[in-house]
Amino acid sequence: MKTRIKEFRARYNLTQEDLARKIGVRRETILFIEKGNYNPSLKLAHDIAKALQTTIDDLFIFED
Amino acid sequence: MKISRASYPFLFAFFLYGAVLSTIGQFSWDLRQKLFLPVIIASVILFIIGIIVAIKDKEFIHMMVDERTQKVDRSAGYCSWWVTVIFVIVAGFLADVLKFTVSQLTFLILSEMFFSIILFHMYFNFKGEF
Repeated sequence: MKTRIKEFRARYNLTQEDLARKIGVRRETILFIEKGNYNPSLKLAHDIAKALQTTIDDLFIFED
Repeated sequence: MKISRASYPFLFAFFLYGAVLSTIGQFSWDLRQKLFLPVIIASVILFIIGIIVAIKDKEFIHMMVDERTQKVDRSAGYCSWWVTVIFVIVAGFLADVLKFTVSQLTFLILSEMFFSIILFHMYFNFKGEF
């Protein structure tokens, strides 16, 4: 699964640390999600999308 | 279980000094005496690395737990438990054949338990999706 988290972070000038602190997770978790090495739960995906003022569909690209 | 990457050097330092040295001491006091100083030096170095990483990660006072770390904790505990069960069976058999004392067997099992939980925690922490 690919994500556009990095692109949205850059839009709002947020570091991984900033985003992690905003949604209450560890920086490594954001790093793993950005790299596609960890699939977040629905709640976490929603929290990330909300923090980046977008939707889950815009943020996460599901590959068949 | 609040373990992060900053905890690993501390845990290895404790493992080296507390578990390895003690276990070796159960089997050979001479070897323990020889290894005492190198183990102390290695433990101190690991301790210092742990402090540096903890300060760098800003986890010296508060360690954050999230869904991924909870998943890592659960998976590491589960795998470590099964490996320990197998180890106890094998060690029990070897203890019978090689005539280990109760304290030798106990220290071996305790060392394995500690070592396996750290290893599996590191594995799942750095692995990513599992």
